[in-house]
Amino acid sequence: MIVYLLLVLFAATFLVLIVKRDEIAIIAILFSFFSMCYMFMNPEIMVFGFGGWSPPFGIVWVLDKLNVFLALLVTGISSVIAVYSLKYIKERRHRYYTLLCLITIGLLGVSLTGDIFNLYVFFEILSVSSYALVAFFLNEHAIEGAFKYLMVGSMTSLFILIGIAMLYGLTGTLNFADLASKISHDPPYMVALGLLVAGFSLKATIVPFHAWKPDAIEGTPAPIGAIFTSVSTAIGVYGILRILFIFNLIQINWVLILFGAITMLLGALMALVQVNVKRMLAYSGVSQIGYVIMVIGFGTLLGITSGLYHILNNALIKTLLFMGIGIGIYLTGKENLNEMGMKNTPLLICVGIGLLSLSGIPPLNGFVSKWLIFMASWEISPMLTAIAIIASALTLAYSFKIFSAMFLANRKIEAKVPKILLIPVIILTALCVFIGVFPQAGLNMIEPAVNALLNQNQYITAVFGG
Amino acid sequence: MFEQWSLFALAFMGFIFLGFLIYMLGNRKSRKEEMKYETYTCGEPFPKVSIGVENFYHAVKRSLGIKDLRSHHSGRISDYLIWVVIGTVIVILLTVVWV
Repeated sequence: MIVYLLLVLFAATFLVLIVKRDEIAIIAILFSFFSMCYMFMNPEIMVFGFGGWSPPFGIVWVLDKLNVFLALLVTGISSVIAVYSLKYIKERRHRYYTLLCLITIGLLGVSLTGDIFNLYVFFEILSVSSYALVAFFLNEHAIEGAFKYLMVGSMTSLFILIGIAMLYGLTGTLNFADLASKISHDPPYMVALGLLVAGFSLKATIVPFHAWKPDAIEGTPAPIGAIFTSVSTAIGVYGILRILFIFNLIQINWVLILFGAITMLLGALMALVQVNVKRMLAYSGVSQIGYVIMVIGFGTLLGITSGLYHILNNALIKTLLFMGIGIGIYLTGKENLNEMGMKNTPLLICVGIGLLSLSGIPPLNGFVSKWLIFMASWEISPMLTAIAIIASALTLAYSFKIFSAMFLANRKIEAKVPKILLIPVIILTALCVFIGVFPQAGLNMIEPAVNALLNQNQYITAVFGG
Repeated sequence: MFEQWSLFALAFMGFIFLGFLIYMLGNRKSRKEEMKYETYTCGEPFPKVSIGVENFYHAVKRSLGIKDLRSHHSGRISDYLIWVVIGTVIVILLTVVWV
């Protein structure tokens, strides 16, 4: 099944360029989403070996509830973006869809593989397609942003490669399950862990690895900005979680708590003073991922549950906002908040709900995960809860700035929004409200993923065939 | 964990909708004034003003050391690379010491 999924996506990547039909990419991405829905229903851990080699010698893809949850999120967001981009991207669309397929392959590969070097290969596919997508508009901002991302990204890729080489040198294996059974907590292993965590921190945009993001997102098409702030950062967090899982270090981790708290506050403060709407959302993405990193650092059941829940909510909200505000950019041709005043009631409602949800206002999905985050941090230290509440207040402040500039400004253009742009935004808004009203539905998705993360032995047993 | 929540959320949204409905109905029935009163400040007509986005949270910009924070986000690649190297060294050191 997984081989066909990869084949379909790779074939679509090239077919779009050859046949020049963008619909092929959309169908392939939708196919991957429905495949992931099917796999999510399966209660067992699924192991797929490549090339007839059995683990730990051959490459395996291991589908446990954690990475299938991530893959479902990746393909779901990619599907919505693929449909939306059909209207949003006006020129060189075939190249755009080729790159969109490639970035989806990269994200899927990183999340589903059970081999650390294979993870690196897909991480590079993801990175290279990301650099190209940042430079897609080929204007001054786009090329500058792509170059910065390329330089910083190359350095952290090198850190990941050195970390993998160290682990291979120390244990003689690349398989996650095999690594987990051979790893110790001696200083050389910890140095490798530090290098890998630092490497994945760039994708997760943890301070001080975050600086590339606003520059890159400023130049990129709005739907790709949505990928960077939602699923790409989620994959960075997944990388850190998987490495901690291999090291059996899902426990209280003050390094993550410290970096998470700083990221949360600094991202929100920087978002507050931005004038370019895409830069503001980029910093907002940095701030939201700070919450996730902090609570994952707690290592508690509630901490990890709230972290994964916030990954889900942040992905939905950020995609909604990037696509909603992207419509504003599409219609006005401006990204400066002072020049984006527009009049459109459905868009006002959708973006308004997105911003309220981002700020954690009940009864929307952002509130649910933030409430869980506050509870989780209260268990560790009330001081951390206070920091999280301050960051949340700052989020409300910059959300108001966006809403005011877009919909309450004096100068407004009467805007008629194309339906194909509005429908994906409405779907995401409905999901935000639905999860807010029925939080148990989201929790039912998260709980198996948390259990998979906390049960290392089950994973090892599944890979080696019991 | 969220047994009572859905009920509360639905009721909350229902009240918002009800409030909106009452507001709309009330607006429809009310007789609109033909003459519009202008706002006066110290005897002068108050000009229509709007605050530019740059001026939002101006006091916050100056008071929380954000100026310094912004100056560190210089946009220079060399600065970003140094941050990454320093960040990596700190992560490795803290991982070896704390974990």
